[in-house]
Amino acid sequence: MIGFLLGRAAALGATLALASVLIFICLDIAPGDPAAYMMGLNADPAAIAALRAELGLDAPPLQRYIDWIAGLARGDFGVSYTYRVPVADLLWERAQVSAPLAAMAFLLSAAAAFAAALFVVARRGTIAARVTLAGAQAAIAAPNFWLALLLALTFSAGLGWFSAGGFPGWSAGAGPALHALILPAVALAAPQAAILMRVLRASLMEALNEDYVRTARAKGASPWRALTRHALPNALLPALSIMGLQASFLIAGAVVIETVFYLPGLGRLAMQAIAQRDLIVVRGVVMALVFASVVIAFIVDFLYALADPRLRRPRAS
Amino acid sequence: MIAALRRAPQLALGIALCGCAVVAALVSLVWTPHDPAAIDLARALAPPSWTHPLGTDPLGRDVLSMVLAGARASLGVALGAVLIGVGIGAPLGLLAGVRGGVVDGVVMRLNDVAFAFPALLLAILLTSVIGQNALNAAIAIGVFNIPVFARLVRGDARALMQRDFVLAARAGGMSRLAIARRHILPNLADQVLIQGATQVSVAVLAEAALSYVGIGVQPPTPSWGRMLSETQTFSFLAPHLAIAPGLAIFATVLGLSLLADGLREARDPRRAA
Repeated sequence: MIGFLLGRAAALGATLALASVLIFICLDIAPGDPAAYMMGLNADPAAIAALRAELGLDAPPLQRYIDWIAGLARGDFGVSYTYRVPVADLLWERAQVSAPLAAMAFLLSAAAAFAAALFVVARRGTIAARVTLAGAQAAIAAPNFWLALLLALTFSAGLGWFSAGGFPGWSAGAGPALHALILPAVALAAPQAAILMRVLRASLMEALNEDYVRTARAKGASPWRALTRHALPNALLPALSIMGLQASFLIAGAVVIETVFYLPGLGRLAMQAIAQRDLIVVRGVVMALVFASVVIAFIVDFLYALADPRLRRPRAS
Repeated sequence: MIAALRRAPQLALGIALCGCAVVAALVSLVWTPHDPAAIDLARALAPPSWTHPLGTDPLGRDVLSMVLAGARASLGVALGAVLIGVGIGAPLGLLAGVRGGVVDGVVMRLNDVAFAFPALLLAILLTSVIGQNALNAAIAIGVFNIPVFARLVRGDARALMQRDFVLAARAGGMSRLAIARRHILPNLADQVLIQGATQVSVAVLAEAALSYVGIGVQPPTPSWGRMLSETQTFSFLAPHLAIAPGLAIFATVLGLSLLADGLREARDPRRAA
């Protein structure tokens, strides 16, 4: 297991390094002169020169890259050009919306997927199971921001159960804040839950055909017990690796969902920064989100190694 | 073909839905009920009627015409993105699978890195820098199709390299390049086509999301994703505006994924879910 985890950690490091290079190339080199880009078309040359000096753009690219990475290591993401506050503060403030949203969506997705998959397999062939499967197919095909819009129209505008958007902040207590995140989390979770459910169902169906399940049934285990105690543990691995991939979908998907509900999260911050050409903020947000999704993928790999006894043992070769 | 359709009714539904989207895209090239870009503020937010079957949007444009014309941007960007993915990913995967060794290792490590990126986020990053238009949206989405096809082709090519007919060809002195072209590629075409249908459906969703947040297809070109964002602030007044473009995306994506599932099943009934 140590070997497996070291390998994954190396892959994680390589991914982060490559991501940082890519982000740096995109934002610091590609648009020509970032200072001119950020100031817009009619900027005063003196102001552009001042911004160039402030951003340290006169240094060679390699030096700028090293400075950026060294800053990141100290938790220094630079200073936002439009907000005039440290980007790290902005990230921290906005993450208090995005992180709970992603976590809620992740838990919702996993809970719904496991419940639905067990239901569909236990009641296979019934109409209820088929309807559930068709629903999953539909949830995968529906764009999640459209689902979000329909949820807002139904439950906020129609029934008035939720506010139509915005975020009250955590200072007003956890209740209103969590309440504001429910609809966005549902919209974010729905397609991921459907994908996870289909994977889990397929591996449960496969496990049910195995000898060990038949043996358990022959020894008197009820169908439900055979399903949950014998088939489910063996069907977990494919589901776990899908959940690792989904973490990054949830983080990226939140960018769009936050726009639908006007939530002041990292995604909205990124979109506003792109509109305002505040490349320092864009760079910081994208790097932070890539970091988050890579770390979560690593945690899932760790769980995978815990769940798979073949990886727990030292390698034979 | 008929027998395959009977075995897989979802394949028929998939073909029908995809057909609708393709027909809408083609018809809108030569005819739409109204000019999809014609702004008429006097008619803004009109409810559905005979002249405007789906009503008009906040700028008085005909929604039906915009939905029909939106199929062009949606399918065009999605197909373009997948072609980029196949065009670069398949040769890379073939190279990795046929050569093996160091080449294989490098290509697959790059793939792992690309898979770990939050795809939509990087598409946002790319379009924010290289500019926001339909072509760049296709490039940004296409980049994330490269590893998908590289991985698929590499896995299948490796399996095929162990088959007797390939071993026979190698024993007969055929070069690796010739083997790749004559024996490996033709056996991969089905799989690439099926995966291609799935990837087009994912790309339609991605294009819609990019256009929704304003960095995909730009005005005045009609786009389903942007229609939803343009009408969002008015959708409490006119909920019907949120229905048509969303349903169009939904039907197209559903059609493509049913098509992919159906083809997969028709090709290999045993493995189908």
